[in-house]
Amino acid sequence: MEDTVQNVQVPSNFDPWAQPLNFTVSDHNGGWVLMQASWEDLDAWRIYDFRVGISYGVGFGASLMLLMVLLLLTKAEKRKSHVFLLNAACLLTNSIRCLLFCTWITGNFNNPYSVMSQSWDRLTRDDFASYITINIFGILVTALIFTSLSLQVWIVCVTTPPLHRNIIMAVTISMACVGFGFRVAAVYYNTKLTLAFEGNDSVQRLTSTSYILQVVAIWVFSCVFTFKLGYAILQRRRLNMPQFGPMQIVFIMGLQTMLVPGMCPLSTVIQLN
Amino acid sequence: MNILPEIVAHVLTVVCIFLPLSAMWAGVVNDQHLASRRANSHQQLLNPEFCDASRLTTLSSGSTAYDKDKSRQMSV
Repeated sequence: MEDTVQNVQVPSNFDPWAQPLNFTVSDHNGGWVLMQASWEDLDAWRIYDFRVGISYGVGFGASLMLLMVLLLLTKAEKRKSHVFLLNAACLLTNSIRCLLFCTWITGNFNNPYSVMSQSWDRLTRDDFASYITINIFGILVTALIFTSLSLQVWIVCVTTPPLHRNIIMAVTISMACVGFGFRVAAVYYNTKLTLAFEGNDSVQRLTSTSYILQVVAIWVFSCVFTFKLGYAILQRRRLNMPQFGPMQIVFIMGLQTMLVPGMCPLSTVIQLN
Repeated sequence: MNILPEIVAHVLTVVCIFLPLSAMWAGVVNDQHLASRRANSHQQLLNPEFCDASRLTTLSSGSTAYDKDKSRQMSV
């Protein structure tokens, strides 16, 4: 075996972690050509993949756990309320979406050779079916989220005067519709291009815009919930009612006004611009 | 795009997880017994959706004069 080991001459600035990675790909005319990538490309793909895989695994577990908690701890008479049904449906569809995405990570779309050489000959109908299902579930989750949020805003506005209520509902629902519409368009074109084996660079801008509008829509809903907190504090002061404690205000602001979902994609939105 | 490029894909998951919590706050209709300055008073805010309202015995300091039977039901 010793004589198979070859000594190679390397340049003085040789970096073994960034050395070229050679592989053979078909030229689609019966011949084969040599293609060169870098180990760094492979490493970037690995890091992205693992991050996405871990995140979707965590998303699946968290959604499923919260669904369990919601089902077990909600009182029996509230299990028929629309908000409960919508929230449970959201969590269920989102956990299915996350699980499907995990199968995408382990599927043929993500085969290292396919990704590095951009040759998609091994893709089967099942792969495309699961890809389309992921996209449909994404749209479904978005629709359920915006419906649930609109219903919650309606509940918040039950005691407000009709004019204010109509204005708030019109603004929030139209914002939700715009966000949802852009999302559907982006998903439609992305799927169409993927099915045609084309890159989705041409709709990159549409995709970014749809993400931004989605986040803006969530901000609008968050503003309504936060405004309700401010209004409750002011009203309690005016009517001399017991005030919210500082812990309660922090709790409501942090967890119950959609502030975290609005803030967490902020860094990415800034980068996309 | 080095900082968590996949975080955009997580907006949906995070919103889904926070939906039940915001539904609780949305369902609070001017409840007088809710406000409290106790150390664990924030846990009362979980009660409108999850717990039995009749088990709630901790009232805020000085609020006992208010109507104890105030409904905690969500309006939908």
